[in-house]
Amino acid sequence: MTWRLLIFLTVAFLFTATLLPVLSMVFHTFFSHGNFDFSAYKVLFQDSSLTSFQNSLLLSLLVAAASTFAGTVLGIVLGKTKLPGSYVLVMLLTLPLLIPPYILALGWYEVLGREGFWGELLFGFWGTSWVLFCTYLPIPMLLSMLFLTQINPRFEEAARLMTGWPQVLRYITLPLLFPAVILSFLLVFILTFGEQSVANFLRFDVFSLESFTYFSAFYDFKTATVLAVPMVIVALLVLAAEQFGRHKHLWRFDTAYSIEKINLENTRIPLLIMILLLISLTVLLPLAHLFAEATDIHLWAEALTKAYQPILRSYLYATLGATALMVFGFFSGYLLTERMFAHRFYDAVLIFMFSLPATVTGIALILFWNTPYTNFIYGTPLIILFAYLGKYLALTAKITQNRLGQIPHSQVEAAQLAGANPFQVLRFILAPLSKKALLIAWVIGFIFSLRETTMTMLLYPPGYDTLPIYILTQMANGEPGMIAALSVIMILMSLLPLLVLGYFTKDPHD
Amino acid sequence: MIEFQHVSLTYEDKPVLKPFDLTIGRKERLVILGASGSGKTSLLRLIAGLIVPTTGEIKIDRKTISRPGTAVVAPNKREVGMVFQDLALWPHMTVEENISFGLKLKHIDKKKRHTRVDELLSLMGLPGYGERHINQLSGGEQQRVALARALILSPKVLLMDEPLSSLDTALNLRLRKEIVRLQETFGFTLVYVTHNEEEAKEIGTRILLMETLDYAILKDTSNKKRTIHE
Repeated sequence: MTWRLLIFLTVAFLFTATLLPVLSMVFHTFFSHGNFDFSAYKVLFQDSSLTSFQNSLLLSLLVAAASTFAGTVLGIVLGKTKLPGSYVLVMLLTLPLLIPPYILALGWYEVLGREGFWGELLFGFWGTSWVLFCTYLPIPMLLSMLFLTQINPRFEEAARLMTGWPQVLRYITLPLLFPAVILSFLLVFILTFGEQSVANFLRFDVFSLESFTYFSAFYDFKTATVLAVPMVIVALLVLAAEQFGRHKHLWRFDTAYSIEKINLENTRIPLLIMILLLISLTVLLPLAHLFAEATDIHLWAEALTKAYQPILRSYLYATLGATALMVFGFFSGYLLTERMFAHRFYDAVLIFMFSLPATVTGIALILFWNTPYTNFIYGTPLIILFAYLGKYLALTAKITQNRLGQIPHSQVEAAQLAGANPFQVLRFILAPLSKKALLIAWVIGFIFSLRETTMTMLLYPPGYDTLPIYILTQMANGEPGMIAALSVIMILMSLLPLLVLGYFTKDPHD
Repeated sequence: MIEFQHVSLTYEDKPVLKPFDLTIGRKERLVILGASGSGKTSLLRLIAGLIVPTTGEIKIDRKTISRPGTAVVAPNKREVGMVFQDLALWPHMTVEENISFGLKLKHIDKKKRHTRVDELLSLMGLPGYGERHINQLSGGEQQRVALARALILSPKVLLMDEPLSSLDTALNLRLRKEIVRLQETFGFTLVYVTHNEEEAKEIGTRILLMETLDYAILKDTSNKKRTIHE
C-alpha cells in the first residue's frame, strides 16, 4: 500500500463516517414520502423556534465577547508578567474547561439554590451566560498565552526604547495578539451555540435543545432534523469566518519565542488578589460547594460501587477516542502540511465538523448508521468513537499540522536521499520529531472525549453509558448527596489530564 | 559618554560577559567585532537597558543608568535608538506608522509627524514609501526603515546589531557609507556590532575585538587605548 493510498483511505473513511451522515440528514429534510417537500420547514418559523434561536445567538455572542475580553486580559497578565504562582493560577482557571459544563451549573445551584433573587437569576439567561462564561474563559486565556510565544520579543524591545510597558502592550503586543482574539471569539461562540446541557439544567430555551428534545423526547425525527439545519448554516458561517481569517494565521504556530516578562513591582499584590478573587468566583465557590455536599465517606463508597462501570467506560472511551484522534490527526496533519489532494476542502470539512453543534452530529450519525447492515457500528461503542472523531479531529489535526510544518523539508529530503521510503520517513523522521505534539494531541483528545456529554447521550448503546451520562440520569431523580459525590469523582477524574497537560504547557518553549 | 564599570553578565548561571571596564566617547563610532556567541549583542542590550548587569554599573554622561539587577533609567528614557539584527519592524503597521511611533507616543501632532517622517524617508532614499506595508519592502528598504525608526527621536546613542548581515554585498557596501554619513550628519554616538572585519574597518573609528568571554582592542584610531580586560 502506498503512502498516498493510506492517506486517501483515511480521508475516505472520515468522510463516510462523519460528513456523509450530516449531508444525508440535510438532504432528507427536503423530501417527504419521496417527493420534494419544504413543508417540514414551517416549524422553523414557530414562535418557540424563533425565540430559542434568538436566545442561542444572544447567549453565544455575550459569552464569546465577555470571555474573549476577560480571557485575553488574563492570558496577558498570567503569561506576560512575573506574577507569583501563575502556573497554579492557570491550572485552577483551566479546571472548568475539563469537566462537563453542567457540573459547574450544578455547583452554582448548590451555592445559590432555586429561590430568591440570586436563584431566579441563575435559572435563566444570566445564569446560563455566567456558567458558560466560567466554562469557556480558559480558551481565550490559554490561546493568548500561546500566541504570546509567537510574538518576536524584538518587536516589544524596539518599542520599549521609546515608551513604557503599558504603551508597548497597547500598541505592539495587543495588535499582534489579534489572531488569538479572533480565534477565541469564534471557538467560544460555536461551543456556546452547540452547548445544551447547562441551558437544559438551568431551564433556559436554546436552539440546540429544541432539536434534541424533538429527537429524544418526542421521537419526531423529521422536525428534529429540520431544526438542525439552521445550526448547520451557523456552522457554515463560522467556517466562512475562519476561512476569511486564514491570512491572519489563526491556526499556525511557529517555534515559540521566549516571552519577556514584565516586572509588576507595586501592582503585583493587587493583581494577584484580583485574580484569586476571580478564581474563587468562577471555579472554587461552585466546586467547593459540591465537595462540601459530598463529605460523607459512605456516599463515596456507594457512588463508586454504583458507578464504577460508567467510570471505567469513561476512561476506556476517552482512551480509545484520544488514540484514534491522535492517529487520524497525524494523517490529517500530514495531508494538510504536504498540501495533498483537496487539502483545502479537507481542512474546511474538519473545521465545519468541529463547528457543528454536538446535537446535530449526534442526530446525523443515528439517522445514517441505524440500519440492520450497520448495527455492528450503531449498536456498539464504535458509534461514539465516530462521533468523537468527527467532532474533535480538527483540534488534533491542527496540532500535528503545526508541528509537521515546523520540521524543515530538508530533513525529510535527507532521509529520502538515504533511501528511506515514505513509511520509513514517517517512522524514523516525522513521528519522532512530532512526539511531543502527538502526546499533546492525545491529551487534548482525551480531555474532550472524557467531558463529552451531548453526543454520547444521544448515541450510547444500552448498557454503555459514561460517567457524565450516569450523573445526568441521576440528576433527574437521584439523591443530591450522591449526585454531588459523583460530580466530585468526575472532577477528580478530569484532574489527571490536567496534570499531564500542565506538564507539557509548563515550559513556553514547548 | 558611556561608561561600563566592572560590568559582568550571567544568564541562567552561565557567564555571558566576564567583568570588564569600557568607555565609549561622545560621537564616537565604536565597532564591536566578534564571532557568534561572544556576547556582542548582550553588550548592546546592556546599553539599551533591555537587560541589566549582574555586577558593576553602567553610566551615560556620568549618570548611572544600570546597577546589578536594576535598570535605574528605563530603556525609553535613555535617549538610545537601536537597529536590531532582525530589524524588528512591526508587521501590523505601515512604514510611516513604524517610523513615527515614537513621536506619536510623545503626542506630537499628526501633521508634524508626517513631515518628519517624510524628511527621514527622503534622507534614506525612500520618498513616498510611507503608506507601504513592511512585507512590501525589499531587505534593503526594510533596513533603511529600521534605521529611520531608530533615528526619529534624535537619540544620543545609536546601537546597531549586525544590521547589514542579511543583505547582498553591493547593498551592504553602499549602506556602510550611508551609515557613516548619517552619523556625521546627526552626530550621535554609534555602537555597531558585526562579525565582518571589512565592515568594521570601514565604519569604526575604534574597533573592539570580542572573543568568547574575552576582549582586546584590535584598532584604536583615536589613540586612546584602554584596557578593558581585567
